[in-house]
Amino acid sequence: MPLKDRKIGESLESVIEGVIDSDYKLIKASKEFDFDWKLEKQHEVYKIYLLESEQDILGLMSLIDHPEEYRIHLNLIELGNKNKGSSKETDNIAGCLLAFACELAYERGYYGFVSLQPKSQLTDLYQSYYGFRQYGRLLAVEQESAQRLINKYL
Amino acid sequence: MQNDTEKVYRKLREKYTDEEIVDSVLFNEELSAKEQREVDEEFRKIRLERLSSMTAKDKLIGDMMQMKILIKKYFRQELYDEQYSFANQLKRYIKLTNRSNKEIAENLDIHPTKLSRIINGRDNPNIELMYRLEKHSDGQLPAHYWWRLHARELEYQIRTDLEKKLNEAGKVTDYLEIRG
Repeated sequence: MPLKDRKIGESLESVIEGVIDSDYKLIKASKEFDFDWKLEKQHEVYKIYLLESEQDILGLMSLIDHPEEYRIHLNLIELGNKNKGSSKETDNIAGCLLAFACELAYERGYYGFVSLQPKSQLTDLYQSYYGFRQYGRLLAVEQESAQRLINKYL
Repeated sequence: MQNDTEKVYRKLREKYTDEEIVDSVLFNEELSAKEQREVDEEFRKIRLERLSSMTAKDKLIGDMMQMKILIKKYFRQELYDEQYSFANQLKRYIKLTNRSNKEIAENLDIHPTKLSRIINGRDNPNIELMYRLEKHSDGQLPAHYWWRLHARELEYQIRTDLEKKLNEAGKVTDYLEIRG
């Protein structure tokens, strides 16, 4: 299930790739994001955009690699304001980013393990939306749930 | 690292429901340094226990998925990479299964010498073998993946084997002179 235009229902081809230094200016200038993405520079940060519209970043994802624990920690995903709430333009953006993180976790030999330390109030919703499971205070996807996300979104 | 996620959450909450937030933002809860240390410690213990309790089958499923994802990634790049030759990927596959070449030859109903020649790049695989590998991997590595690995290698050989190209060209007579 790739990205989908909500108005016309068409599938949209997208690209996920690493954020480069010059993107941070664009991100700030766009006023599309509520979090301060410059603070994520120290981590692995990825952007997603439509193939025909590289300048228009739809969403961002910050990851932290924990090779000693065979996992990638999902530090932050945020979609631009155009894609938040009931009037969003495109479906599946966050799912695609999360599925991409799962692919990376497989590539690195972590069995697809991606963790998140959610706000307690949102824990149930993250579980039902994305198939996360509880691991102590953290949530994570791995193996079957990670494969489900990859098959669904990529 | 963000230093006031709660503030951003409250701001988002003014405009969106929790469902809408979950659909567009995945963020971490900020904890005090002490709390964070405890959470990290507890999680690390759970994670290491989970890793050590993984069965051979769990690991095989994960390793196979890793192989599939790396092959898909290779298909997205344009260049040929020796590491992804049919023979090298077959070697990798056999290693993951933890079975001997002889066992795999039996499983695939192929003569061990033929398998050995393919693994060593001295013989070409056929489509039948690719279908059998798909079945052997329980569908995880489809026949067309094996075909694409082989086709890319053949294309590379065709493009770069200049000696053969010249040799074969020398056997052609009365060719069409249409390039002006």
